Amino acid sequence: MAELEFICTIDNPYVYLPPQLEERESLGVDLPTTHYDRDLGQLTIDEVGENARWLEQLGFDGALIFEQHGHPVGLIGNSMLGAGWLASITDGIRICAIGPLINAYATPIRLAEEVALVDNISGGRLTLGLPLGIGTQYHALGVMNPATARARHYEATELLIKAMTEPGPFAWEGDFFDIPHVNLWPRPLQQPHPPIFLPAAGSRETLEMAARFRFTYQATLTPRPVLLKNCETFRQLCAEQGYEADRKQIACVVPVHVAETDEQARRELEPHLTWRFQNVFRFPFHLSFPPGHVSDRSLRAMMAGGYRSPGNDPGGMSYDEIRQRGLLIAGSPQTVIEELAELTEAMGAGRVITSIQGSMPRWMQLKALTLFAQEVIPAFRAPDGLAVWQRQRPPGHSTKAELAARRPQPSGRPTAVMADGSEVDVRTAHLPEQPTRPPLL
Amino acid sequence: MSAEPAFHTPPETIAVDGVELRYRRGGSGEPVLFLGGAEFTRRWLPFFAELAGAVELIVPEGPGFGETEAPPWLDGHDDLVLFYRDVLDAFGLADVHLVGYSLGGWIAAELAVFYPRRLRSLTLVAPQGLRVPGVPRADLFLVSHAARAELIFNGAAGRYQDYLSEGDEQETFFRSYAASRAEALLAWNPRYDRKLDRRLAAVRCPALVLAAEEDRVVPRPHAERYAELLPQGRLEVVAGGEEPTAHGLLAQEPAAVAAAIAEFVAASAPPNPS
Repeated sequence: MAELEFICTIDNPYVYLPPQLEERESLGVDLPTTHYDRDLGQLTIDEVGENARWLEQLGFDGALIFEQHGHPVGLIGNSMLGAGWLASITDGIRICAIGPLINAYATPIRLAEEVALVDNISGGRLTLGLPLGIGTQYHALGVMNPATARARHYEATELLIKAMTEPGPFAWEGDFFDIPHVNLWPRPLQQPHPPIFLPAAGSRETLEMAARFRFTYQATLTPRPVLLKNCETFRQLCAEQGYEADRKQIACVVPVHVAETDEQARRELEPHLTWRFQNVFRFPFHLSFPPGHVSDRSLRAMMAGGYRSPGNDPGGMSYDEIRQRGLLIAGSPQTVIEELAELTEAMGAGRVITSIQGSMPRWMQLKALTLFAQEVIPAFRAPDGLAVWQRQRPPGHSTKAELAARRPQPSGRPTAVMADGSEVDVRTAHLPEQPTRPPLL
Repeated sequence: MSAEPAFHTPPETIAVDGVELRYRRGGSGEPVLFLGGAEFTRRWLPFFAELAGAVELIVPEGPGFGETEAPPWLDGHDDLVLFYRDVLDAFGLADVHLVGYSLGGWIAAELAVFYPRRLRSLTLVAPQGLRVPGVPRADLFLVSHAARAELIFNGAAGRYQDYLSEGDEQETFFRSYAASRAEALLAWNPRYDRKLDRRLAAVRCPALVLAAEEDRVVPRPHAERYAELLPQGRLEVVAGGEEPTAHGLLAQEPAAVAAAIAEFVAASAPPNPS
């Protein structure tokens, strides 16, 4: 079986909501904050951190958080801030911030700074995502215009990559950003930059962008035939760019639930999945696609059978429909292994992004994750069962001894000109006699 | 071929600034340029027919609306101010009576601020464009096409399908989405021009502001504020026959709105029209 990386979404929706009211079309934009309880909100956020530690102990490859605005679908409003927090409470697992809305930033340089900082404090464990942002988020911040979002997102991404990879300072004169002195300090630890995922429902514009920048195409919720066609289109677009897509460049997003038996999996999952689809994924067209969010070409293609086409609104689907459409994998370890292998093989995917059902009792979440880690993941790993972060040496250094052994050659050292006109290395200036060999650090 | 709406007439085309501008015209007399909103495009409305009985009426479909494609350079109302200046030149109109409805009212107000000498009069019908503290306009970007229609007609959209349907359901869906994109380019954020408060003082011509009785899209205080800020501004509320007028007053009371504008245009005409 082809090897797979396993990333799990640990973002938590705020689940303590009133029963879905028929007249409320979505939780997307305007659910009053009077429904928010501070203690339960704190609990919801705390559990995200606890999830990250669970996944690390279980041996998942990555823990993934989103960024949500203006609704209870997620409570982490700043993906990079969340990633910085998770980096500080874990040691090895990859932190996937999928991710900051680059259009919510006044300048992508500010995001570049955050990326570089989190990559450093995590020891090179950051994976970045650059979503265009789901439709509802355009109503929440007052700084993103959906009609210009795609063009701005593209320019901002180009600038972000350039700031992280090319020497500064340089000037940027674009349509959206005019920055005379782009000069990114610090630099990200990973070279040339942290891996980048591009979530895409399948619009050609997004697939082209992922292919051009060699990003990972993060294939979101799409019916199977469209999904497989998108993967093929993506590989073609990569070929047009002059390279063969790596399997890791396709990430399959699918909720997976593992239980002792198929029947047990259904009994455990069905109510939670139903809750999720009736609440979290309940976005009517006009909330999913604010004005200009998709091109006319993509809109016509979507209406012809893709994501959110008529009759394909996930909000109204039953468990069986969701299973039939391939939007979910659930069952015994053996069933899950077979279905995962079949799906990822058909897609040519090298990564799987699953999720925790936020409305499940904590013990049930942990049981499902444990079964996943112990009974499923090893089938897709080398015999040693190691996660990517155990297999690959992290960039940077972990100890002072390791650093000293590398004997870094800085281009400067801290010097000052003293009152008597002498130039001294300030680190040794206090010594009556200067050492023959200056200190390394 | 694509479906056609009620009141549809084939447009004429004039090239302006690289844009193939679709427009309709009718009548004779004082020249009136009408700038519409996102709604009611591709049609020669009963309201236009009424007004064209008294004036020479030119109705362009703004870039991105109706059958006029949005040029790549369009991303703010200043682009349209310069564009409509060139439209006046293209029609050979040194000066004109300018009428703007809803979003078109905002554009008309901007045009009047920047080129005051090219206006014989200014009429704003249920105009957007101002910030009136405490009275935001409805968020038409947040609602479905059907809900938007109900806001425009105060819950009676069913009676105005001739104005709302683009011919069939699919055509209405695609066209309303395309129009909303142009609307967002002009007015997603901010949804007003706060500088108009100060700049409207530059308008030199007589100005009439027509308000609906119960406007759920652009509340009446916006029209009142325009009338206050325009140096020669006057407010008139258009009364409904069977129900209070709504933001869609052009469709509800075409004769009354046309008569108010025609009378105002006549009163504002130069003493010796050429």
